[in-house]
Amino acid sequence: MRSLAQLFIASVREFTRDITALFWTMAFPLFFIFIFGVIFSGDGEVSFDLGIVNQAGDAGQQLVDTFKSIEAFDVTTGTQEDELAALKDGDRSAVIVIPAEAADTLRLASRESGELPTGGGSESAAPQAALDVYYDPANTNTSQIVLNIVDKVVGGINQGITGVQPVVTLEQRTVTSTSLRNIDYLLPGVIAMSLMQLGLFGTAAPLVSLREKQVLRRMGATPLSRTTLLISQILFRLAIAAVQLVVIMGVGALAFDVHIEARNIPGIIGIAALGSTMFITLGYFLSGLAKTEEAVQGIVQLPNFVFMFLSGIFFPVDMMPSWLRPVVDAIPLSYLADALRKLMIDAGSYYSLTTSVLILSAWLLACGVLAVRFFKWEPQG
Amino acid sequence: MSAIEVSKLRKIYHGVTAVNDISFEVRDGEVFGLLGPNGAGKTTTVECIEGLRQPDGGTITVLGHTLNNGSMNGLKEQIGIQLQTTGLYPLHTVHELLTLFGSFYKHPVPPDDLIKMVSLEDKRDTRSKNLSGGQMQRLSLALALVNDPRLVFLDEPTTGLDPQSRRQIWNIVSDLKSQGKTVMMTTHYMEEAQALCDRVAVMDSGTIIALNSPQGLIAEHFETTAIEFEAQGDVSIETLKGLRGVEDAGRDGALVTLYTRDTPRTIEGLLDVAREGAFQFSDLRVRSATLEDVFLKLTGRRIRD
Repeated sequence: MRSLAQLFIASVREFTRDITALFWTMAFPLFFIFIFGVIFSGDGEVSFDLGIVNQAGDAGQQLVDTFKSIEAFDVTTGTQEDELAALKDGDRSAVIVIPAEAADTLRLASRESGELPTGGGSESAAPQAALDVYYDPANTNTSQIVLNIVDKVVGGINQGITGVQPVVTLEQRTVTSTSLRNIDYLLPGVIAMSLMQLGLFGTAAPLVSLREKQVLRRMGATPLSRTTLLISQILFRLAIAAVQLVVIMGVGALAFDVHIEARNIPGIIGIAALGSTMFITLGYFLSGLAKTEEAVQGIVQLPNFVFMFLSGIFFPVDMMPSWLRPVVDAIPLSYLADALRKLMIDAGSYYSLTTSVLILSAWLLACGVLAVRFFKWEPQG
Repeated sequence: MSAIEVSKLRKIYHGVTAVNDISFEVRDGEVFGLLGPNGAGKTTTVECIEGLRQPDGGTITVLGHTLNNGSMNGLKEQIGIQLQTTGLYPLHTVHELLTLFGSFYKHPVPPDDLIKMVSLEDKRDTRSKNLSGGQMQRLSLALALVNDPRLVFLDEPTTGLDPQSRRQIWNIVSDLKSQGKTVMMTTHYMEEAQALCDRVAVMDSGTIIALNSPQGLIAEHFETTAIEFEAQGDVSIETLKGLRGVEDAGRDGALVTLYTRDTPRTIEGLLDVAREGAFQFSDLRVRSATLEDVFLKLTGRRIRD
């Protein structure tokens, strides 16, 4: 235990005295956030062009107004042909058609919301109404967010009909938490990127350096067990990951007003710990492939660039050709960023949380096996 | 009692035999030297004994433990190792490194005691990357002593150091000996082996070609004195070998060495030859034979070639 503590302290000392390491692990992600934050935070809220075709007359108008009140939507109304044509041209993110048959149900809903509280029992036989939502399946990312919001709005109305809660309040709450800006989107991506780079630049490269400079060898000549040495190195990096997480989230929340779901913080910590352990293990594996300190710099660049640009942390996965999708779906960073995004800002997510945890765990296992197989203690150069 | 017993040790790298069936013992409390040129197999031998390399054959017993498959547990507490290259955290100070390494052992020596032992008091808070070669070597010696070991391994402790730094290291090694510790060291400096070692094994190409005390080695191979001079002009080694008392003669460029049993008569003869005008000489000196002469005689080469 004494040696574990001393080794941990030694790693921290060596790290905090190394300006270059500090810069890449701490300053670089912050630099990223500030650049993106300044570019995107102002009025640059993400808004979606929503076309509404109201065929239900006055009864539908209240629903139209509800959608108009949502900040994230720029609502245009028109005929079905015009709106669908606009959707095809890419001028609309989605088109909602309120059919004439929905009028009765909607009238019922508006009366309920106006005269609350009343029990829903006597009206429980209200006819069902279906809204038609048109969207471009190629543009899944956008569509999913729009569908998510529409779903919540409609959900609110449904609850109104059954008389559980007042419609309007429920909607507003939903609406504020879904008002997303680019910086909100970006922040979880930057965290995911930093955790990955900690595993690549912050693990593989220093390990090769310790090995080639014979620091590992010298310590191996003492009674110190290799397990203790490895554990101290991993714990130290998890500690850096924790600092990165706190600093980036803190700056995001304080300087750029990024809304972070407080109730999800345990989940955020859990997924960040899983993700960084996985990338640190990957770093151990990669360190075993490089013979020299120069070689490892090249080796880590490959996963760095592939993961960074194909994982959708900076631009939506939908922008990439569909043949690349299998690659995207294989990259652990995609899942880490997606899960962090879902937990931090409650955004519509691409993969389910379970899928993300499973895929990251599978990567961790695979990297663990490879690291044990390839890790080297003796200098190779 | 022997601190180390090595029997038929063999190590092969990529088909090349680096150490070829060597056997020797290191006695308790002595300073034992492995002497030989670079590539002779000294470091490989020492690292097999330290448990850092797996031998391909033979048995090694260290402080009563027979090594097999790198099981060094317990033994590492009793030995101190200075590797040929000491890799350390560059941004840590001398004191911090000694504290760190102390934490790896059950009974560490206080860092400041070690610092005093190797005279690094004024470098106590200097980062290791800012130490000079000699200071770094003294730090690495201190690290080898952090557990107050019974047996200390030093692999070329003074290579590349200036004479003053070398002398400091020699003093520390002499102190270790007077504390009753056993020291096994490698070196390719003849004068170092001669100054420090109780016994020396001369290694060349993976084998031990001679083993004795430095004086013993010299006496074993030379009952003679060396007469050296710089020769100008044509001189036949055969003529010189014919001088009275000369046992052997060698020539290295202009430097001629005559090994003689009868120094005055040999010099007399040398003067006669020179007077006849065959050649001229300068820088005449008479010295007793050294380990360098032993190595030259055994291998036909000088050790630093």
